[in-house]
Amino acid sequence: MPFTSGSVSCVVYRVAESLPEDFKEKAQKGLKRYAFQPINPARNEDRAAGWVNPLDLLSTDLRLDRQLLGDYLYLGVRIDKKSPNRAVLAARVQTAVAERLKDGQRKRLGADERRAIQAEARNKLLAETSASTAVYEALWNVEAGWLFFSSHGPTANNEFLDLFASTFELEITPMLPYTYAEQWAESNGLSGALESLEEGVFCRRKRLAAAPELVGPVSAAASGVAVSTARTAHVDRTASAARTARGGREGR
Amino acid sequence: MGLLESIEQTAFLGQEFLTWLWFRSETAPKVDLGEPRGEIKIEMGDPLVLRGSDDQDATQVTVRGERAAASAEARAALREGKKLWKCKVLFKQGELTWPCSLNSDSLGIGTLGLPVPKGVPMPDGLILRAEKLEEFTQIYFAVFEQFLDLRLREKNWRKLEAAMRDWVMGSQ
Repeated sequence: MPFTSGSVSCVVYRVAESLPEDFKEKAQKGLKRYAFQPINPARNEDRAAGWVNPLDLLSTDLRLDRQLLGDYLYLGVRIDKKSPNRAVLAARVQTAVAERLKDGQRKRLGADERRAIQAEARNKLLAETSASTAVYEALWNVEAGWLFFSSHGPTANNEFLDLFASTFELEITPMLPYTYAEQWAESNGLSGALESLEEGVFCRRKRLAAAPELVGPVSAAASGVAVSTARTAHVDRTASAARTARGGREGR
Repeated sequence: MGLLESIEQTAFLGQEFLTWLWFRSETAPKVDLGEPRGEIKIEMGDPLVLRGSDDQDATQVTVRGERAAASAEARAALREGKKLWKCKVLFKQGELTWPCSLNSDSLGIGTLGLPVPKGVPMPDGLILRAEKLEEFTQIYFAVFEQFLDLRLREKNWRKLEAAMRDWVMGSQ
């Protein structure tokens, strides 16, 4: 488990709000209410998320006094997901449509009828599909406000943010470059400078054009250094971070 | 401007921070954080992943090797206008070493080695590790604050940007 052994990978959050006087009672109720409940096939659910004890994943009977270790609240977030196979689903829908046409001696089905067949086939397949399970950890210093979450993935972070907001009803901020800079700039009277910030330039393109040897092909044999290059859609580079922040601050 | 827009428009801030760490590791590796944290020495590890703009022929370059940060390949990527996107770094604090991977998008921490004895039973072991993780986080953000102090003050930034440009071009 990331926080109990080995190296640690995490996203850092801050809970800046002071805790209410009845924090312990509220937190206990919230943990009980949002404890993990398995996917309910009767409701045709395809995902479920909730708190678990990170030291005993099957235990959802969470007691605050057991999860609070010194100043640290140590919690697990379990996310179960069912993903029906699309090819199988399409084949079943095709078969069901063919049967319906044959039974009714028709050439075509109405849109509503087709949708109903698709929904029925999906729910049936969902019930047959096993759920995949992922468990993440959250470690929160309730006195100092630092909170660490053991996944960098946007989906897990958004799920965690929803769960945290519902359970504790406190504002939580991901420590992204901008959000941290925003807080720091505000306390140092530099908010204006942050808002009008322009990207720095560390190369001299004009000079490079005049000195082609500086941008010539890189020697592959140089000092045992391996280089790989790739075209990447870097428009997406902040997408996950932005989604995380939106979940934390705008998704309320 | 909305939060999301601000984050997207300042996406370069994290990359400039990591690139500054690299610059500091080669030009003035000791960062004084004051009491109680003291001096931190920055050393770059490998791999380094650099990213540039979409109009470049190659928008991402990964450099691996024992001396990746000092390599001609890494410097060539900087000269092409790329900045550091992900990297491994060592923060050395006296006898303590904090090795970790950093990501400029989220300031997320990866594969952080915590300087704690092994085999301490629960819950003391977890509390000890949590305290060390928090200690590192405060060091990390204190270093980021030093960067912000230079970055957000126009006069400081013009000087630093020129110095980093000289470093990239190899005159330092």
